Amino acid sequence: MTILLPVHVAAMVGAILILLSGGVAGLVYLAQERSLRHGRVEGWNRRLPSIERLQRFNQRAVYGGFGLLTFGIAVGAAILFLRAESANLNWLDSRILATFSVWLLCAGLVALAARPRFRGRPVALLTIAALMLTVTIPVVAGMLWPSWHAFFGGGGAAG
Amino acid sequence: MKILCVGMNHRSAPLDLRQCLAFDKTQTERALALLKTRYDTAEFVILSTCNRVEIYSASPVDDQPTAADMVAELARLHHVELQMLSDETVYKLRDEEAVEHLLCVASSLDSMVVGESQIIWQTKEAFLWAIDAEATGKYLNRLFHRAFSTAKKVHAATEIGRRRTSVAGVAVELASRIFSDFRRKRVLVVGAGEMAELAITHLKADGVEDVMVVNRSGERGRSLAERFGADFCSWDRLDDCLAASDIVISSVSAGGPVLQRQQMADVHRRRRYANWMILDLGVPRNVDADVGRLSNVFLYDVDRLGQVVSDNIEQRRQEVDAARSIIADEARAYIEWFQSRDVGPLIKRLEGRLHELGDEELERLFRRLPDDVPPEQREEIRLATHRIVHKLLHGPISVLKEEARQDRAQMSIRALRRLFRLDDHLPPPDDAACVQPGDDSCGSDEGGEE
Repeated sequence: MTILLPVHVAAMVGAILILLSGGVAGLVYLAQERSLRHGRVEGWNRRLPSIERLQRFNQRAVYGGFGLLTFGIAVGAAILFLRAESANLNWLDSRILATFSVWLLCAGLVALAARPRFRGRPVALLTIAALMLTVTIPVVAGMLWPSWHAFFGGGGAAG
Repeated sequence: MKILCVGMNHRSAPLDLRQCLAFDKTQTERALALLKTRYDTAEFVILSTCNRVEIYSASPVDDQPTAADMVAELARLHHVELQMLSDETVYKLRDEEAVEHLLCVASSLDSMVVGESQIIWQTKEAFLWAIDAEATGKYLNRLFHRAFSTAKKVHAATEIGRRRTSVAGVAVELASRIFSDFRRKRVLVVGAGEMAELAITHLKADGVEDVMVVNRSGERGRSLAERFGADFCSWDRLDDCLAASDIVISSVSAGGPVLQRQQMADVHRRRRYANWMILDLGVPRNVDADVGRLSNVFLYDVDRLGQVVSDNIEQRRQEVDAARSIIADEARAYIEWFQSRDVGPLIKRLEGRLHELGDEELERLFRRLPDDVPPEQREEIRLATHRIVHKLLHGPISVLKEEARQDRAQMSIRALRRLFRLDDHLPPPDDAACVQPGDDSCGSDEGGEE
């Protein structure tokens, strides 16, 4: 039990960081792609990775971030399952529900990213959107509704 | 010492004349050997490219060769009439102008395409040939090394060499920004005409190995593919070939687009929407413009590429001011070093100038003195005058020598040259007609045009 919590936290933080890097790659990809469509190669273009490399990185970040997020949620669920009765914890907590909805969003993103038709620009845009939602939804949910889940300094008696 | 540059470039002389005066390696070696034999105290480097022929020399100020001598040598070496090498076609630069010119040349500011990178290699080659011919020395060695380091600085600090100025160059740069390694991609060349041939030549030169040719006329296409070691694909398998390609270069003579939007969209789906670069070099266009709207398709037509080239050329020109500023600083640094080496001859010139003045005054005095003044007394007066000059100069010269030993004599040298008008190419004070250094009409007190 003692080990599960740090693993859960590490996995969740890791997932956010990976999605963050994917989001940054997505932003850079969008800038590069726009510039290249007009045939422009400026000084900053040359220093950035190629379109192909950015796409690949973005895609891997989506898969990796989602994988780690899934793992982190699974470990969190295990913690909850083991402690629910003794700590009187509720599965229907706002942050828990928010995190599950984020997971569903990311699952949708992964499904789209795997489809060739969505390569490139769509995946980049969705990655940026998913990153923003992953960070904001649980935080906002915890601010609007009471939550026992303590992360980012918020919440109550979990842990 | 003086530094001279005598030559012609694409702006001053037509191609025919430049070609007559060009030097290949053997001619350069022969010319350098001849010049060294004739002017053994001088140093020489000959720079000959398709756009310029220049001879650089460093020699004692009062010695040959002068610029006129070098022009004559240029004519003689190529058995060309001297009249053909007029002041309009041949420029003669000296000292600061010559130094700055070389730095501009090496930094590609004087090139037909500003920022091109070939000139620095040509300049290095010319310098190496001069070293092999033992034609250079302290002054030109340092000058050329300075030119190379300046060129490196200019290219690092400005964008002058970064933007491509040819369609092929722009295409390669775009491909390298789209694909992580475009040399490993499959290139499909649609067409078998001159443009297609040029495209394959550039691709092969850039290291692309997987090239396929498709053409309506099977015979021409096959022949082109064989010549360049490329694969050939028949026109009826065009869609399959497009589906297998990463880069498409189209240059077909047709009245309108041969690659339509729907066809390309279907092919793109078969390619699983992987990145696709399409260069439409046809006029009128070979590829439907709407193809460029497909996701992950980068379509460039002749107009777009031409516009990029024009923009790049303009951007390079804008970098010229920044480059010139760097060059001016570097040229100044070299000139200061160059002039500080001149302390010995400078002191000699200063002494000579003052003794000359003293002697003039002595002659005037002796003309006024009675004739019965004995020669011994005249000699005593002459010696006294010389001693006065020596005593007056002793202090400043000692200081100058000490400063030169510590390599900080530049300011004093500059001041002396200016105050006593010791620069040989400055006109004498009473010659108000001269306005240009090295102007033939000046008749400078050093005896002629340099």
